[in-house]
Amino acid sequence: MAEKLLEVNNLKKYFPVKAGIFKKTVAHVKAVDDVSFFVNEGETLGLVGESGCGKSTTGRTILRLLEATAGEVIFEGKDVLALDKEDLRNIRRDMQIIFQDPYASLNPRMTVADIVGEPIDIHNLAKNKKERNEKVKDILERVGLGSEYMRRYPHEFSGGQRQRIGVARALAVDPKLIIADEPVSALDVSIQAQVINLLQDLQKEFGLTYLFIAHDLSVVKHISDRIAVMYLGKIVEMADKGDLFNEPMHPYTQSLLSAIPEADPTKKKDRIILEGDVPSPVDPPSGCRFHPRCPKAFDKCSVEEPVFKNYGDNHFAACHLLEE
Amino acid sequence: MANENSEKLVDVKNLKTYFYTEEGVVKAVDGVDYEIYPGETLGIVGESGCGKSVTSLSIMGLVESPPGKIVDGEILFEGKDLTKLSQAEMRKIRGNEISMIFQEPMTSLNPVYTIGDQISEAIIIHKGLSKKEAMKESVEMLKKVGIPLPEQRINEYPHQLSGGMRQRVMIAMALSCDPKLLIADEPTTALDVTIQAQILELMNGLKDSYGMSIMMITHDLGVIAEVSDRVAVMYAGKVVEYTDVNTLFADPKHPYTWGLMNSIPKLDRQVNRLQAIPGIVPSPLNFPDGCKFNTRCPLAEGKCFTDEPELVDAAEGHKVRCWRYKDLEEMKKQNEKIYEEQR
Repeated sequence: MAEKLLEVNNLKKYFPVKAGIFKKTVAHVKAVDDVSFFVNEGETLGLVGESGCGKSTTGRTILRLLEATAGEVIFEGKDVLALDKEDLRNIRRDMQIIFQDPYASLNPRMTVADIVGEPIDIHNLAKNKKERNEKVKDILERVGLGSEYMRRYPHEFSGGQRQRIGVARALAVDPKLIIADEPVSALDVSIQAQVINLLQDLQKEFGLTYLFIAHDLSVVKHISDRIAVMYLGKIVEMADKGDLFNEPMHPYTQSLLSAIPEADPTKKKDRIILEGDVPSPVDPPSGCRFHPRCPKAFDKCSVEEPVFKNYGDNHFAACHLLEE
Repeated sequence: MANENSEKLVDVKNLKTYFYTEEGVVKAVDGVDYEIYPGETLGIVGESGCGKSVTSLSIMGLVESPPGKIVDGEILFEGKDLTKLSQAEMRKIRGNEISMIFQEPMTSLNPVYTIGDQISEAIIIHKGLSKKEAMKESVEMLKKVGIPLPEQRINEYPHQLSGGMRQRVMIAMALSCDPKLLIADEPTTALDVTIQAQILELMNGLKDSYGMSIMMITHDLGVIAEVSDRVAVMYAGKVVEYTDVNTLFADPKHPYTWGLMNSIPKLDRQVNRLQAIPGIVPSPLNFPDGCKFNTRCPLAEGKCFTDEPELVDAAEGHKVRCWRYKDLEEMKKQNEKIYEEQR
């Protein structure tokens, strides 16, 4: 059995909604509301959901780029949320992030060598400038960029190449866990495949663990070992990818899977078209948060919140229908 | 469905739209041909910069000039050449007979007018109704595109609606004058999958009830497979493959089309590694000689680097722009063998 590298317990992140001249807090956006999951060493956990479901906030809260409202994030036995500044900086060597937009996440005034070298400097991983530049060169080659690019600036690169720079920066400190927040969704289809292949190669080579956050289910299915599905701040289902795709338990997962347009015109799918939009996380529906859109909802769903339970083989789901 | 015998609604012939920039001439659309029949959906698929949006803007007469210019070709709409019409004549066609919806509905709606004002504006201009009648008509349109409580929504502003609802409003506006052609430029790209499914279903339904044609521009092969009758695949300003949707997915003949299909993960076909197309799209300021795909093509050799291939008939109703499309068959077979072994 693989070791758990990361364990998230009852994580909550509420953003205050302020109003009036005294900026009184009038409500909270419950972006992440009591989320628990774990990631085993060396595996990829896919975190999927539609916009506003809290998947990116979850990723950022784990790294403490946002401070959590409540909960625990256990990384290698330490609670990340309780660490002081010094320890936090040290632990961040082991946890890195790759962002969605390669245009916005790289400093336009820094050369590639400095962008990739900065984390090496911060963590004092090189004795001198020469060693640092050797390291940078080495990493750039690993991600498929030659050392001739070291003195160039981000604007001189295409989207796919920029994402490679982002990957190189994350790799520079030799991390154990990489949180990839929609790393390919801003890229063209033919380039997406290049970056996905790169991430998989690097995982093998360095024994990396990924938390892969994305909205594209076919990409998530390709890269993940296990998948967690989020809806409105909660995880509604989590299972091995095979189980999740073959036997989705939660009605939301079922409709999400049926909504994916497949590149095969001969396939006529039985679509479960959901009514309406995702409700606001400021005032989420009572009981099960999915009940206003759920085609199978019954009385209990609007009153009582379903429990997130293991239904065998680590297939977790939160739905009243399953308890019958 | 397309009826090959019926009159063509749109017939684009050798369209060339260039942009004259300081760095040089950008040949965004460089000799494109396609036709659209009444009642069918033509899908146009390609990656960013392939010229798919510029072809649609050319049809609408919305290419900004300067720097853009239609330098050659014809766009026949019901026999009339749109490239020869004056601005005033074009205004009568735009919105009336040809409408367009865009990727990001928020940037296409005016934030300071209500939904009702914006839909009825088009109706007043093109149908000559009074304000009151136009408002009534707007409510009807909102009902047709599935917006709940249209009488209330009509008095709301765009920011009060969700992304999916805004796209429905755009569709209502586009359809308010019964157009014969609806151009949809990445209409679902900014939307979530469950909302995308709603919008695609709505568009398919409306196409049938209005009997209009749709030109669907997207980078998403899944969306293409879902809605198109026929498909044009574009690369670097040219159509590289052109056929009906079933043939395209069952038997892609251009190495680019085939490469695109291999590079996306499929739900029913688990592979260890995706087959990426190597390299990047060449800059439009600096296209290679010969076939423009030669920098990334697994089959490129000799002639491919010197002479540009024509769009030829590879089979009945299946056009492809490639010197070596016959040799792709061998590569497909090998690929299938590798896949079987992996399993």
